[in-house]
Amino acid sequence: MLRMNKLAKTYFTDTVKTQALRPFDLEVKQGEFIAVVGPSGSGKTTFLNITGLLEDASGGEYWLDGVDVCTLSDKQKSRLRNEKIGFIFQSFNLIPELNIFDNVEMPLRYRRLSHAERKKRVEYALAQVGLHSRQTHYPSQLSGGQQQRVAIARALAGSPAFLLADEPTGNLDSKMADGVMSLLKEINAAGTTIIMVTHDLEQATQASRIVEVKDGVISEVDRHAQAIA
Amino acid sequence: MRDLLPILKSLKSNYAAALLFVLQVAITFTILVNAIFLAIEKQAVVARESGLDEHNVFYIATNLPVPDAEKKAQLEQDLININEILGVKSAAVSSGIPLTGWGRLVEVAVNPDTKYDTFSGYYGGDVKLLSSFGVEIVAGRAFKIDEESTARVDGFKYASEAIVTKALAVSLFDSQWQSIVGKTIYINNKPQRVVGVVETLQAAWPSWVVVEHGVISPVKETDDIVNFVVRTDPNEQQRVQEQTLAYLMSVYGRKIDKVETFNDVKRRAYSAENAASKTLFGVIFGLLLVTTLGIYGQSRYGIIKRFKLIGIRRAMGASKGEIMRYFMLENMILTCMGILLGIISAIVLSIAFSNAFELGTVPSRYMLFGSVGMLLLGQIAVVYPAFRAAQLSPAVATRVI
Amino acid sequence: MFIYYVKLACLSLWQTRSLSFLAILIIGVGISATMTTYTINYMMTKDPLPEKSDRVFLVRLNNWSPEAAYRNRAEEQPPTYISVQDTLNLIAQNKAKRHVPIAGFKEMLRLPDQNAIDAEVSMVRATSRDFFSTFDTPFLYGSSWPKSSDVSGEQVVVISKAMNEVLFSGENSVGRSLILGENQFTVVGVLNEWFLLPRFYGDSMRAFQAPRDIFVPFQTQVNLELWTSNLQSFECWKEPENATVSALWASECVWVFFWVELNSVDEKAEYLDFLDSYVKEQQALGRFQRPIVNQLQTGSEYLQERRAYSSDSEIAVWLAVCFLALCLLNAMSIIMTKFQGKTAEVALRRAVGASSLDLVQQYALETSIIGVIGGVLGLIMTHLCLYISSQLYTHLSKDIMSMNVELMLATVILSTVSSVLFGLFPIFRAIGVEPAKQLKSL
Repeated sequence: MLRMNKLAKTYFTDTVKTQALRPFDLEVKQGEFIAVVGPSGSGKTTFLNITGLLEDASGGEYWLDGVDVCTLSDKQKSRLRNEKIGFIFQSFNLIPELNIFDNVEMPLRYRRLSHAERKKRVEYALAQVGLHSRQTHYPSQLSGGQQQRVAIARALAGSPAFLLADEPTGNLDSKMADGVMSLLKEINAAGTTIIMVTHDLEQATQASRIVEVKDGVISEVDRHAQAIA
Repeated sequence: MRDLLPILKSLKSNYAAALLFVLQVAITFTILVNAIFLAIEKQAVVARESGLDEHNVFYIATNLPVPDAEKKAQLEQDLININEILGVKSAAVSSGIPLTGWGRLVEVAVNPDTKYDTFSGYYGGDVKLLSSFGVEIVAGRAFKIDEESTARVDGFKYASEAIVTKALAVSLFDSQWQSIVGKTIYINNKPQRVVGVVETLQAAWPSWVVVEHGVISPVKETDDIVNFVVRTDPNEQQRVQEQTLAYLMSVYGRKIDKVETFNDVKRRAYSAENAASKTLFGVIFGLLLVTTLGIYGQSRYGIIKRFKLIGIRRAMGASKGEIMRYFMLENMILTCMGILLGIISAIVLSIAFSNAFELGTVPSRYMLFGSVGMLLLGQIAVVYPAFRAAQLSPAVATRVI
Repeated sequence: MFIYYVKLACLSLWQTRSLSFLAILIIGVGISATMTTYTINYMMTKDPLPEKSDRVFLVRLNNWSPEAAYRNRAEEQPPTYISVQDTLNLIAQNKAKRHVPIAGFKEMLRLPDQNAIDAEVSMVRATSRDFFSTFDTPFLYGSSWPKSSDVSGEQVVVISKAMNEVLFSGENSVGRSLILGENQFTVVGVLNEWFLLPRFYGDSMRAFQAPRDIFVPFQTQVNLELWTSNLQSFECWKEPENATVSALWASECVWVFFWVELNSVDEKAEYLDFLDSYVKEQQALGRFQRPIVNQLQTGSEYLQERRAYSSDSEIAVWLAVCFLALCLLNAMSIIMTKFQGKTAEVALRRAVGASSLDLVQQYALETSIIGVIGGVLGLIMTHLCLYISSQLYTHLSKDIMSMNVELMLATVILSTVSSVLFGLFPIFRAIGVEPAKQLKSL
């Protein structure tokens, strides 16, 4: 469902040309759970941004469900993000002045769904993360773990083809982090593809595949080799 | 001055806010300079001397309720009686009153063959008119009693002597204006000998180009309506006015057409100018308020945005004074840029106004004072936010915002 | 979606209420300054008779001394007023649709049952019945006097609503009497509220003051020989035969403004031809010994020539427009500040699939709400400012300081459009931020 051919990213500043990502190939199949690891500054986030259509690649092809996204307009990409991709961020990124329901509902708004449909989906998504009873609360009234679960519900509400998680447990203590991880695994088990950036190796090993980014080079890690090492 | 470079760099990186600030200063400067100039011009018009003893003069427009043949006698009797009222310094009859908007104008020429050299306002009255107005003779002499005569209307047609205002004399003879005394000039083509020059006596129309030009003849008029001009001792005006009216009304058939103190006349004459300058001062006040608020708000916001930067500077050893200086210098640089732009646009606007509305252009000293004023305004608006910035604890540097 | 944007906008406005309030206040101040000055200028310079201002003309005849041009002007221009005899002649020839002489006098006014001592000096407008139809005056009671009153000079009056309040406590006074000087007049009509702005038909210096309260037929003034020497301008190139009023009427002294209304603009040339032939006839009788430079002038042409339009009000508008620009810039920086705090939200919305257009709509709506509220506030403040102006500008009619519906609507639209326009820059800046950057940093 997701195929990248010779995809690369180069930044240009006044004087310097930085190769953030060297050309790489990657294919992700439906239902996979991919962990992206690597030290900071290695290009993990750039990889995630390109995958999530937040940034354009500077070369190569990127096929998402059979569509070459490099040829799409901003509006079409927005549409694609809305329908196919769910984002989960390290710092949750909930809108403080909206309540939980409204936060989760946001992507559905941009899909122009009817009120009844939105309500159904939001309630289902919140039930999935176990926060059904907190619809009218505001983000500040929840704990960090709960906030991240709301963010996950928001990502799920649009029933996306895959979830992009950028260090989803980075701002949480280990107990909360475990809760979020098991939730993600449940979701994956239910059929949603997940791509997760992390630098927690233990979390990475829970994924079905591990991709390592190092100095702009993307390479698949052989789990068995890793395990042996 | 070692702050200068970092300031310029930070402005470059945040050019939109800086540009807005500069534009605001420029527009404020443009309006401020032009509005103050216009307001002061209006005030200058209002402040012009009428030439009269303004606070102590009032006039009554009334009729002479007797048959035509007896009017001269009635007028003279009235004048004697009014002059006898206690507190009257001098009372006279006049064909018109300065600045009332109603009067007569005459054509003045130096030579008989030329049609005319200029226009002038005209007043005709008895010999006491000059002292009743309270105008000052600066050359020659006042009228003598034997020069006085009486006409029904348009006394200048019958006069053989005239007194002119200095402004009229100057317009006819430039710096030799005093030489006009003894010369013959032509008032509506009739030759008259100038016997004296008065400092100032404005004509009836305040917005007239030659409002300072005046000709006075020693001819009192007995038309339907005559104007008694009464100059009183200080603080006696109210009482004298009542007594004069009481006397006038004692004559059967008398109609009082108008009673007005000269202060009221002047207020009425310049009500447009007064209102305009008040409006302009209102604009200036609103302008300063909005701009000060704007500069204050923007500085405050700019500083909040840079809390962390300030903390880092503090942590690295910058003193409170240095932090304050940084923001005040930044403000000064931006204000100066705004003023530069403002001077250009103020000149453009001023030229546009002067072309479209026949106004003078703003003199350069307004630009200078305006610049200093704007700089001060900017510094005043920034001083509190900068002070608050300086009070920040260096610890904010380590905190995540 | 619209309702969603409204909800978001309200939430956002409430969240940044102090900044929003400041922006609204500043826009309101700017709008009220502009609209106050604009209203005054608009009311002073607007066309007082939109339907017929191009076919109502001031008649100017070159009646002046054979020796010199009127006021010695290099380019010969006739006086703005004409003599009594020409007025009567032109009315008698009856070549225009309507004839409106503008003359007048001052007299002591009282009711028949009042003592002479209680009479008050009043200014009376002497004109014709055509005055009321040419200037479309509304009548509260009665009507203008009949044609016969104009012809024979009957002692009838039309009074203003205000005067009717003073004299007859607002009752229908048609048929009642009042006394002007020595003469009794019968009320035939009472005007309703009426104001012509600018009031171009008379002395240009009084174009922005209220009309007089008493109207009588011009022929009546002529017949009764009512004359006030210090009321209106009059100029004589030749002395009247003697000091009597009848000699003045027969003289070459000019002082009557004479207006004609034609059926259409096309008749202007025709009427000018008629004036030329009239002057030629008079020349044969020994009058008008100067070149024929007759003129027909519209009200605004006349006022412009007389420089009745003060440049002050126009300058004030320009200054106020600059001031509004300043206020909008100020509001713009405030809105930018507001939106800078929202970059994270913008990025998030972009990430979950909002297109740029979605966000432009959302924030443009928020900005227009600020604009609308600013406009309404501006409207309220404009009314306040106009009230203050009416106290300050005592030399101008209070009617100048009033807004009509179009102006009020224009205020709110101006405010909304200009704040959205000035708000777009911060909106595009907020949206232009790359979403990826903001999401990471927060």
